Amino acid sequence: MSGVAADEIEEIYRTRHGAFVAVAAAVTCDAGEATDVVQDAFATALRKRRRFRATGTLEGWIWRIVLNKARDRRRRSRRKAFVGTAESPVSTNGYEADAAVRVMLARLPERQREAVFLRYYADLDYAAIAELLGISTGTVGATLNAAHASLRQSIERVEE
Amino acid sequence: MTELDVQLQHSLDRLVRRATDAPLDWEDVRRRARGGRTRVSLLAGAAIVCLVVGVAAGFGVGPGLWHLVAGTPVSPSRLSPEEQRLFASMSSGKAVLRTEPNSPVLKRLNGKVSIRLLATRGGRSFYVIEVHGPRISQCLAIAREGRPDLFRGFECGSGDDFPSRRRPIADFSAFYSKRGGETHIDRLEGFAADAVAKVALLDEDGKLVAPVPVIDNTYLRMTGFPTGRLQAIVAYDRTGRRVFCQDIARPFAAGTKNTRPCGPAGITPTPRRTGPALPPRPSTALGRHLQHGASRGVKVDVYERGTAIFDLQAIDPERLRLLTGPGGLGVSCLRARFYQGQWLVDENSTVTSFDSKLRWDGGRPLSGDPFPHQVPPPYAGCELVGYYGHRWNDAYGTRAVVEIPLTVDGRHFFNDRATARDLAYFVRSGRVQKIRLSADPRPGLEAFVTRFPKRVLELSSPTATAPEHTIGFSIRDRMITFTATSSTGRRFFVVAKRGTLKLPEKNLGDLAFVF
Repeated sequence: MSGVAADEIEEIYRTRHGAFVAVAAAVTCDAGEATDVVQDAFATALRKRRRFRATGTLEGWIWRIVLNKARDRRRRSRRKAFVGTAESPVSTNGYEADAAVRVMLARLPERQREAVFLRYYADLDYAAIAELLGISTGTVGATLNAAHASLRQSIERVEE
Repeated sequence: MTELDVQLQHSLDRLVRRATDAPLDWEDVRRRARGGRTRVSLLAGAAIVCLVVGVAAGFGVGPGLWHLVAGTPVSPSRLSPEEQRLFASMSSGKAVLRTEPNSPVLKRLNGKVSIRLLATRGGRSFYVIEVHGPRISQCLAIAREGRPDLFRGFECGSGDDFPSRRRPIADFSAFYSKRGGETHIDRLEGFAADAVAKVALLDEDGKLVAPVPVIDNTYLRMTGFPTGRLQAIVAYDRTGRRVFCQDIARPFAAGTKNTRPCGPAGITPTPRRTGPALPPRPSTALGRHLQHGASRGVKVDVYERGTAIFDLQAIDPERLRLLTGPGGLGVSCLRARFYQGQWLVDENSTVTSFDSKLRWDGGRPLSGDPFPHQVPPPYAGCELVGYYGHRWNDAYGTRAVVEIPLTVDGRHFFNDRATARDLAYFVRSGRVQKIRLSADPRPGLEAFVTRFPKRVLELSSPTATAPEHTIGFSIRDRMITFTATSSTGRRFFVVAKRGTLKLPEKNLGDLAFVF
C-alpha cells in the first residue's frame, strides 16, 4: 500500500500539534521558528503524501519530516539560546527550577535533547525514537538516562 | 516516576508552553503545500486576543468579570461521536440516540456548539464550550492533551453562575480528606475570572500555601503541596483582596481545630439560592400499550409515552435473591441496532429497591433538562440487573439477572453481549493480565486449558473461530488473539500485544469493557 489521504495527515496535525511544536522548539531553540517549522513540515507531508510507504506509521514519517526541517532550520540560524530565553524572566511564578533546567537543556548534546523531547512530548516508545534518531533501542535508553541524570541534577541543586 | 521526575516534566512543560500554545492553522499548511511560501503570523491572532483580554482584565469591567473572549477556536469535528451526540442533544433539547447515527441534528452541530481552547499546560488542555440551544449552556472541561477523545468529562451550567462575582473560580481540583483530617491533594486546577490573579490553599493555621498564578484564565499546580490538614481554597485579585473562599476540609474532624475560615456557610461569597430546577413530574397517563414480554417469571409492559411496568410477583426465587441485595437493583429498557459491524445501544437505567411492581419512566421526556437522555419506545428489550461483582466463569454468568427481549434484535443483542462479556472478563482477569505481561504466555494459557478443558482451548490460527461457550486463543510472534463466538454466529476478538497490557485490536464495541 502507498500514499495516504490528506484527512489522515490533518487528523495527526490537529491531535498532535502541541507535541510537534514542542519538539521542534527543542531542536531549533526558538519557539517562533518551531511553529513555522511544523507548518512547513506538514505542508511537505501533504505535498509528498503519495510517496508515503506503509512500512512504518504515518505519524513516524511526519515526525521524521519535522525533525529534519527543525535541524535544517537550526543549522541555518545557528541560534544558541533555548526556548523562551529571550522573553522569559529567569524565574517565573516561583518556578526556580525552570531556569536551571533551561540552562541544562541548552547544554545537552543535540541527540540527548531530541530524545528527551521525543519521549516527554511525542510520547514515543524507545523503538520509535531509535528509528527517528537512527540509533539502536539500547542507545535510546542510555541517552535518556544520561539526559535525565543531568536534568535531575539541575533540579536537585535548586531544591537543596 | 519519582517526585523529581514529575517536577522535571512540569519544568519542561512550562518551558515550551509558549510554543505549544501556538494556534492551529490547517489552512496555512494547505496554502504552503500548494506552493505558496506565505508565512502567516500565527502568533498575531493570539496576540490580539491576549490584548483584548488584557485590556478587559485591566479595567476589571462588566457585570461578568470575564466575557470568555479568549482562547483558540477548536473545530467541533474533533469531538468524539459520543461528545457530538451529547452536545447535539443539549442544543436541540431532545435526545439524539446512538442508534440514530445519521440524525440531521448531528449534521447541523457546527453552528450549535462553539469550543475554545483557553490554554494548554502540564499536558492538560482547558476548554470552554458554549452550546446554543433552548437554554444556552456553558460547559468547562479539562482534558489530557493528545487523547483521541477531546474531553473525558465536563461541567456544564446555565451560564449565569461562572464567571461572576459570586463564583469567580470554577475549581476542578482533586483532593480528599484522609482519616484524622489530613487532606491529600493531587492537583490544584481550574478556571478563573479575569479579576482573579492567584489561587491558593489555606492550611490548618490559616497560612496561605501552594499559591498558583492565574494564567489565561486558568490555574494548574501539580506538585509542592504541604502535608497535613488543609482548610480552604481561596482566590485573590490583583490588589491582594480575597475574592473567594470555600471550605475543603471535612468539618469538625476529631482532634483538629474547628475554624470556619470561609464563614458559617463554608463558602464566600455565598451562592445565589435559586435552588435546582426540578423536572416536572411525568404525567400518570401511559398512552397506548405497545409491547409485552416475559422471562424468568417477570413480565413487562411498555407504553407509548416511554413507561415500562414490570410485574415481579411470580419471579423465579433464585433471581429474587440476586435482586434483593444491599445495592438495590437496576431497571432499564434499551434500543439496540446492529450498524456497520457493531451494536449501537441507547439505554437509560434507574436504580431502585425491590418491589413486586416496578415502574420505569426512562423513556419520557423531561422539559428543561439540559442533558436530554430519554430513550423513547419501542424497545429491543428490558432488563433487571443486580449489583454484585463479576469474575470470569463465576456462578452469576454474564447475563443480567432478568433479560426480556422484546424484538429479534433484542434477543440477538443479549446473546452477543453475554459472549462479549465472557471474553472481556477472561482477558481482563488478573491471571490473564499477568500472562499477557509475561515473556512466554504459553505455559499460563496451557494451564487454563488443563484446568478448564471445556471453556478454554488453543486455536490453530488467529482468525480461527472458537466453538460457542469457549474462549479460544492463538499465540503468534508478538500478539495473542483471544476469541469467542456468540450463538448468533458473531465472532468477537481481542488482540493483546505480548509483554504489555496493550490491546491494539478488538471488536467488542460498547458490549463489554476490556483492558
